Amino acid sequence: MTKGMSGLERLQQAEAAHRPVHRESLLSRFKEGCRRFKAQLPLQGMVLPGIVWLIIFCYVPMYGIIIAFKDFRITEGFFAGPWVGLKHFDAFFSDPFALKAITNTLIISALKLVFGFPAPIIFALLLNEVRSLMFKRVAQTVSYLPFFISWVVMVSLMQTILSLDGPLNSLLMQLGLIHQRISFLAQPELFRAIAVLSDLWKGIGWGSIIYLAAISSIPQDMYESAYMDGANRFQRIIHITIPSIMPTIVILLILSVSGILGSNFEQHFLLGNKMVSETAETIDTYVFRTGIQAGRYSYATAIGLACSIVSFFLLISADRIARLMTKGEKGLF
Amino acid sequence: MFKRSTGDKIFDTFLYTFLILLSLAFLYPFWKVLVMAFNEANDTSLGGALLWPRKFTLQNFKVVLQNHQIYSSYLITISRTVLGTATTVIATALFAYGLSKKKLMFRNFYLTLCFITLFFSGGLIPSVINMRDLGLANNFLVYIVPAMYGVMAMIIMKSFFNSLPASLEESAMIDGANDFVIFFKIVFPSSMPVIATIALMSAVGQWNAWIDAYIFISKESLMPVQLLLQRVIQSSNAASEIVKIVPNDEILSRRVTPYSLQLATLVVAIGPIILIYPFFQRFFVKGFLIGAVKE
Amino acid sequence: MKQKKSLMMIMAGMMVLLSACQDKGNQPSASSSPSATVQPSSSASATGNKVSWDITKNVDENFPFEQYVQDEKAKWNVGRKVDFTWYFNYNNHVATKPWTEYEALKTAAEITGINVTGTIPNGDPNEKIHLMMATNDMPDLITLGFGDPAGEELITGGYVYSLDELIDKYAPEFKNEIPQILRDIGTYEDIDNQMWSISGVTNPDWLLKEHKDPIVGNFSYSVRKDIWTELGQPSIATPDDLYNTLKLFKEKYPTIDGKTSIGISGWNKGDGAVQTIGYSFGINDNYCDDATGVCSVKYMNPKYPEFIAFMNKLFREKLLDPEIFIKDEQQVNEDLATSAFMLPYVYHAAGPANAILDSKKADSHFIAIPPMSATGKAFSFPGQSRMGGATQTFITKKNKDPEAAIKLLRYGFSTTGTMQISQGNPGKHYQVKDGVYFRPQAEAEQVEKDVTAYLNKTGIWDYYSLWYQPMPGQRSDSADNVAYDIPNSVPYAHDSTNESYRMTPSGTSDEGIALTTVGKLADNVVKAITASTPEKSAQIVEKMIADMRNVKNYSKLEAYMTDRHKKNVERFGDPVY
Repeated sequence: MTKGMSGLERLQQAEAAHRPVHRESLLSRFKEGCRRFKAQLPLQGMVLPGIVWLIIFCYVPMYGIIIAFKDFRITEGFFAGPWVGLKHFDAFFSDPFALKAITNTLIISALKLVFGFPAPIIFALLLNEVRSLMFKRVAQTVSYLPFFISWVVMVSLMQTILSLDGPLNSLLMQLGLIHQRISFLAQPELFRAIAVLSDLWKGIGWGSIIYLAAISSIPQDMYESAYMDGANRFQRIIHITIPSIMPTIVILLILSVSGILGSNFEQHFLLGNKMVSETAETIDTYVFRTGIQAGRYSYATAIGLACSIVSFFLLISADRIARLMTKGEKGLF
Repeated sequence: MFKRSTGDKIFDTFLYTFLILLSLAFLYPFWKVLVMAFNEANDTSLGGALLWPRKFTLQNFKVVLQNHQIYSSYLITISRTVLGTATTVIATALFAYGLSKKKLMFRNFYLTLCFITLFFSGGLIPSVINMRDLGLANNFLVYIVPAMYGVMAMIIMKSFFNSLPASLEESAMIDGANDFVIFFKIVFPSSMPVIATIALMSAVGQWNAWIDAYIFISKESLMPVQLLLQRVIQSSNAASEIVKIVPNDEILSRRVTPYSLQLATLVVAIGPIILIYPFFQRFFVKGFLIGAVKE
Repeated sequence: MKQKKSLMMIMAGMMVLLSACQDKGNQPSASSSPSATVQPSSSASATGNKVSWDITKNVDENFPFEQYVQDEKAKWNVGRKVDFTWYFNYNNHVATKPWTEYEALKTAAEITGINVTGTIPNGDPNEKIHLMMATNDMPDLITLGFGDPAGEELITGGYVYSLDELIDKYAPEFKNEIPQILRDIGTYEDIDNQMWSISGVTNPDWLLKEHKDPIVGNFSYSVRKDIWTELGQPSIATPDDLYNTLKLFKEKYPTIDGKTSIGISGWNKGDGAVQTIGYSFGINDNYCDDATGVCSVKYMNPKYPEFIAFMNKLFREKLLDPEIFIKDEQQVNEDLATSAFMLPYVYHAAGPANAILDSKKADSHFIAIPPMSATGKAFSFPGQSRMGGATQTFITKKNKDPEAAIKLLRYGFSTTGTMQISQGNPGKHYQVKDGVYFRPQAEAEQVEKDVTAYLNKTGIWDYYSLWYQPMPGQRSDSADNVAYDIPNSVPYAHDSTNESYRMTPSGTSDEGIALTTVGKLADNVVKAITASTPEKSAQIVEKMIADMRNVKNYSKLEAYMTDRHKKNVERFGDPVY
């Protein structure tokens, strides 16, 4: 991210801030500012609506977080209601379901990271090895398909495939892998696998696009010279392709790690049921259920706040680690 | 250019087999739903692996398409996708263009405001209350206004605008054109790949969104297709949702079942996007290419 | 919350078939000779409120319907076009089209000038009502299930009008028309002494006192008649009988129609799916210790572990539908119409399936058989509350026209209005002879063929939030209803007023939060029932009950329930049946 001002400008500004100023110069600076502002009115006109939007839709709700420290009543505004200090946070730490939801979120996110993160990379590398352009195009197009459907559709497709009389059960029975039909969506111990796999199924094709794009920008002569040096296909992948797309991988990894406390709300909300709630309930769904379904607005806000603080620190740490890994070249900030 | 060794050939065989199987795994669930939607309800309930309709029928679709709600929901979904995408793209692009200019006063302050929102948010409850106070409940604008700007999209666009050759704008500036004219006449048209990518992401998001409607919309006239689908498929009383549209003798004669109707509704709801997306592929692959080069 | 849902199922079901009490000594036959038609008790006048049709005596096919509509209109029409949305906080309200789309409700809309469109949660009612509060997206009228704790939240949150306030303002005479019992139910004495809501489906005194045969409920064990006959009509008096019968069924019918057969079917996701069997073990919706008077959640019932152990046995031996806890109503209807044997729920729940079964094979519908008891005592399930309120209707502050809303309620609780909305057009949908109403032959046949279809066509029975029974009615049940369903369900209910009235604390209070946590712990019931061994199952139950007792503020919850029960006993006296 480039800084908007040069060092000199900043220095001047800092000096200006500390120097006792005469009224005249302050006034003239102000006038000068106004003149400049007027001159760039069209530009400001492009930006200011966005800033107003940010304030209304991001900063006002952020201010609304104060209800986590209040006994908020829904009919009143953010200002009303008595302060209760950390009452809701205390309740949070003694709520077994909230803790369970956090554990579930961490486990599922970790699984999704371990299996879901490398999958599109591998898929992209595989696709890149396909020589037939036609085949590659078709395989790619097909792999994007699940990205374009909503989770509502996705979940009903899964119910069709995974039902007791469904094709997966029939297939496994015919292969002799199971002896009686399994109701997949009712097994708490299978829920995580199903969540991870369905995420993978939905996102692998789309996720691979960015890597394919990165791969396609690798200069072809690197491969040629490696080939001349006698490197085989796997060596070329390991020594040229992967290092070349490493920056992209690192950036995306940082972003994934920071999202570890956010689950896929729609997936869990739609796929979860009473029988699997012990593994399926995540922070997001729990906040929704306590906040909206049970009307405990302050408490749900407190949970949300606690979790977003944690994920902020996760992001910072991920960034630090990334800097160490890439020797300071890559980081988010 | 490269010679293929035996090892390469074996690898290729595995590669192709694997990718074919994977593609089938992507396609089969859709195929299964399609087949069952075109199969006679009574026959479907007998179960068994269906690779092709055993008893072909259009009855399920005939019944589903009698539901007026489907048409009004489609209208809502199409309006929100078109309007939502257009406003997001134009508003965010203007925002990004303004912020890409170093001479912009308060630029750092503005950017800081943007970046903070990437890390902090008010969370579900304060947002819901805020939108309620803005009068967005049961209001079509709830689909458009809260989605108008995207900070991530802004960053992608901004870096694209910065990468455009300065000479592009300079000639226009000499002519004294103002920033809006420069933007719409010169910058916007030369940024099509990134615009198309953002537009596609926004359109897919709009098309598939249902949570906003689930929380804020109770009027059926404002219900998008995805929420209708969620109700028909997911809700605990899907039956009554469907009974509303089904002539009773159809159910009695078992020509259709609630399940077969769910499947037909599903096909009607996802059909268009599946038919359309391959044509957009060109754009989003190109857009990502730029994104990757930028990194 | 679970309790509420099932309670609503009973109430709705009752309205569907038990439209009135049995009045065996006074049954007019549907083909009775036409008698003199009823006349308005005072002559119609264009100006107004004097016309009153006395339909409690006689109505036959020669009823002057046009005249009646005109006169009623003069009396009840608000004189402007009003559209109301009316939200029902339960999912089994079916009439969700505008009133003008139903034969009977159309007339009511014409008379009042008010067109009502019903809406339902389409999902978790508790979630929907809270979403509505959070987004302040309120309909014109809200009907809650009886004693729904959301009522207090609506009042204290300032979302609804006090009915007293509106009545004083718009129709003071309505005050005298409201029976005391409705006033009692609609008052929240903890808040103030105003009437906030009005209840429908109330057992009027005459029904209880004169007829002494209250309509009390319809939980039952329903079985496929053809299969049960094939198995030799085994009696199912004890858990062992039930187990053996299911075993026998599974042996004889491993598959039906090519699908794996299902011993016991059910829905409601969660332990509601097996609730009726719980009643057989004496486990009611709340538990009150007779000796100490202490009340608590049903899981504290000493019989609870035994019940779960039995259910676990059924599950392990595949006698329960393996997906019983995830199937929804529509999937179960599909099973009932094809491959299921038993449905331990309410007898009319098999209605939609019955129509399909009979169309495939004569006499293959579900019938209720005498229920089993695991307690040594007679089977008993919570019947309709003696106070009878099945619903509570509020007028929201977002109401477009409170004056019209009050007029609508007043019409709904008038004799002609209540009959119009819940029984249909006089002369066509219902007739009255000697003070007893009944459905004419042609209509009764349609009901018997398919209740749901009839309901969808006419719109009757669904707005029981506006029902205060003015006279006894004749049942229009099928032969098998009379032979099996009614005798095997109705007499087995007990008066559950004291153990149910407002026993659920508000969800945001300490007690309410404790109850929510207990409810979440109760998800373990499903785990215990589906456990792979009896030991595991017992362990889960034991741990669950211990955890429940350790829930923060559990003692407060117990104190709340005990106190509320005590107040109920003081207020309503001993159970009457």
